[in-house]
Amino acid sequence: MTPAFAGSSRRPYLIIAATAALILSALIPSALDGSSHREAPLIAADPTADNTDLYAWRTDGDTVTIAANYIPLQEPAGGPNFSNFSDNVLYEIKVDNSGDARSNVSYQFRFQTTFTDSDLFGETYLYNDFPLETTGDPDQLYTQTYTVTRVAGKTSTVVGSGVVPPTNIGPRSTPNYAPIRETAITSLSNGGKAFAGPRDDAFFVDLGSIFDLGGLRPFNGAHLLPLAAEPGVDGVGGFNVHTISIQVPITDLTGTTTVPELGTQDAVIGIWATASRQKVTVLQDGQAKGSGPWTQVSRLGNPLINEVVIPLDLKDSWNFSAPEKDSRFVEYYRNPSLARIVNAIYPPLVNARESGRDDLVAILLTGLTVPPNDVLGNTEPLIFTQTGTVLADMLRLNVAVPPCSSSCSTLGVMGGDLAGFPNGRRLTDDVTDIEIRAIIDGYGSVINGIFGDLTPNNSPNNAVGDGVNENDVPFLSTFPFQADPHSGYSHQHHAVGTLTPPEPV
Amino acid sequence: MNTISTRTSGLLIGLLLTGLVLAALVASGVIGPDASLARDRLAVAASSRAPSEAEQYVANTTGEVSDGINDAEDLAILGLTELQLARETADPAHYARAEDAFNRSLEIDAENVDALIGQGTLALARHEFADALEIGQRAVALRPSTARIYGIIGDAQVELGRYDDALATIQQMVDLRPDLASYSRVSYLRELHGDLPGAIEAMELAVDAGGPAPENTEYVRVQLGNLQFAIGDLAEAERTYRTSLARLPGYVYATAGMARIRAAEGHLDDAIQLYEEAAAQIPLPEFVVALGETYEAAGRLDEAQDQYALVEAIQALLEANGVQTDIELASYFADHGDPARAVDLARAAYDRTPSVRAADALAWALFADGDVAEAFTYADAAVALGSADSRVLYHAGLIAEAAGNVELATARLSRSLDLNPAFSPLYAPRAAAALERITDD
Repeated sequence: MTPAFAGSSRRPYLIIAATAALILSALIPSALDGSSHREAPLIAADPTADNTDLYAWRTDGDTVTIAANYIPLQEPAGGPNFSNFSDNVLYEIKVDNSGDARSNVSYQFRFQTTFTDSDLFGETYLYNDFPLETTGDPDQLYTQTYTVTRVAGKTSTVVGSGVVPPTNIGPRSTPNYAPIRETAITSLSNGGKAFAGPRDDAFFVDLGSIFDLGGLRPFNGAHLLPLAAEPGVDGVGGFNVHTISIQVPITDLTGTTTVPELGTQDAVIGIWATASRQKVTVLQDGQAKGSGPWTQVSRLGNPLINEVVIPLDLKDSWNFSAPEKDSRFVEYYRNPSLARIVNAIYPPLVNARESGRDDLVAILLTGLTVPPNDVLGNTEPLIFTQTGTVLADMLRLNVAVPPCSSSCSTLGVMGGDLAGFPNGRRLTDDVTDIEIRAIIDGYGSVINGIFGDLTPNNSPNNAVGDGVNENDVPFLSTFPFQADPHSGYSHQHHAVGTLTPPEPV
Repeated sequence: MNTISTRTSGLLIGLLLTGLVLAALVASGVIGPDASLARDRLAVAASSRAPSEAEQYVANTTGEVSDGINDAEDLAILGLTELQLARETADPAHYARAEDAFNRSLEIDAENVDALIGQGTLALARHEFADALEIGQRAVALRPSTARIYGIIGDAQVELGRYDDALATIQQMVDLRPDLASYSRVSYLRELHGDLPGAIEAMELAVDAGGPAPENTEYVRVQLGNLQFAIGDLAEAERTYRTSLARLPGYVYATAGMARIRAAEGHLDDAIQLYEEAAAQIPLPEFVVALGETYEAAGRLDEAQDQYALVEAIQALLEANGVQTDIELASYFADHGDPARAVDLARAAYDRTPSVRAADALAWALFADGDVAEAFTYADAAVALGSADSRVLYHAGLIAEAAGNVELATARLSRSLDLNPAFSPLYAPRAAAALERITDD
């Protein structure tokens, strides 16, 4: 037990800080109008420009699928204020294929909203007149269209355009969502596909327990404040997000003429997503509306970095900055506060290393090169997810690793499945359990066998998890893969998970 | 995450507050028998309101640890939550509790930025702008990448009349983080400099950056409506206020906006009813004054007097909780019968905060008190940035007329009425009459 726990009422500071962040963003003053002087709000949540998750994985036909999600925790029954993309936000997926953490290829999505009066009711708060059968149905009154622009170096090319499918409102308005989704997929002129619109939130995690002093329901008994063990509960189950997704040829992203070979540097790309809002000059200089330039307000590469690694007072700064500048955050990876917290609140676990975590720096900031080892049998160092030496939070994908066809594991590489996180991130990857086990030195035998002491495999740390092992609804078997959005009329939140997290491998 | 929670709790603004305010008014003896009509009319059951998140947080926190909190960050959060309660309830008693929490936090850790942000916010709320500026500058030195600190500094600079500094600060803020908070300040600075179309454009960006429905978004949406009203686009302003009311039913600032529209259309009875609704929810001086003026415009002078009496009581309560209200009171006394007192208050305010707002209050007070020459000087100062405020232009126009400067008077009164010929049920007709009087001569 650390000194911080000497007094029984004392709570771990960082968990308080995490709670504080929520409270601060939820509550803190807007405007205090004691009288008539103008006091605009001081802080502002901006969900429309808030990245929630990023997924990238190799898909069939030598393609890569990337999905960047925005606008967190949308209640499906959110009418009349359904969430939408913003016309004033630049949504972007960026890809580094040269190892400098700068974008070589990016896909920009820009939206345009039109609103028409109802034939039946004139000006109305309703979303549609009659049941909607397809995307772009004329009965949809609130419509968003978009363009997809591919930027390579200084060259911008519009490669496609599409229509955002409607919210899944209910059995009267959207009785059959599958054709609506299928007609929303648009072809890109470079051989790819795109989709932009509402989806089920593919993330699955027990938010309700984790934010209650770091609780993991299946391990309630091991907590400093014990409770009876319970199955995990999917805190984001039954909520929707908005996604921008592309499926493009591998070579479109690597800049090579053929699919790169395993072991070559060309095979590794780094990916992140951003949202940016328009820069303005306070006193105007005649700048045209809607023309940018842009200021980044949110970004996302690896999952949970801003939530778990970056301290409260740097969260904004992290969101505004570029991955190439991430070396200034390295100490928070090397000395993760979460390791201190878990060591303190789970006495039965083997204490994790609280400092000197070069493993986390390598996995999350540079990517991994596999040393010669008996597990994979390579006799020379093998470039796996390493993009280079620049410290940068990017989701790294080795496109030469084919999609998993057998012995697939939701633990990804930790489960012996090289096609999963942290080699990219698939929808099914249980990144919460993977990251918790990594941070608490429960890496499993595969990773420990490859990397040795860098990645310890302590037991029972290697069996810990939140008890939410899969998404609340099944994913689709074809693009855009993420499940259709939950219906406002009928949906269920907080699906119950399991008492048994994935077995350690 | 906050989207959902603030959406559902929404703005349950202050059914409670009326009870609190009235209790405090009675307790502090500022409500006399002459205001009893107003008090009776405003009496609304406080108990019917569900506790907000902020109230629950304070209840839980105090229940758990009472005065025993000794963590700088916990104390800062407690103070910030008290500030939120002040906003939700309009009960300024929360200011004292917030102040206490911030002071204790900073005693433990003098560099706790959240406590400094809280102190700065509190200083703004109390109109202690020099203090707010100083606190903001200390906080920004500790955490230069936190955008909202620039908001505190910029707001203070605006109120202190340091407009060039404010422009630089808000430019930094919006460069750092273009969001609802910074876009809305860009809009206000443009408005102060007379650029209403630019102000509208920036406020539209602020609304867009606000997310689906939280109160912050509706606050800036109503500001957008007010700007549309300021350029005389009543139809668009009404559409904006209605959107706000659809998203946040009963939203008090939108209700007041609808009252302004109805008054501008000449539907004074409807306007009175809406202002009554707004003032019953939150008896903000601006609502109560507007209600009184609408009664006056409708010729219902006794009822107007009831409202004016209440204004003084509310101002006294704010003063008792450390809120500087000199400018607001000065304008009120200049319009409602105590010009000498108005001059004293406005002069003190202008000495402390030489803003265009203070200049307008002082000019108008001096004019009411018969000192046209000095009033003329301050009227110039009030419109120096290029004011696009019909009421300020009306004041400056009448003062120019009295000073014998027909050309300036014509220009100011014309601009006032060109912007919005129905900017006030009471003063727009007087501005029109003055313009007619001048051009007839």
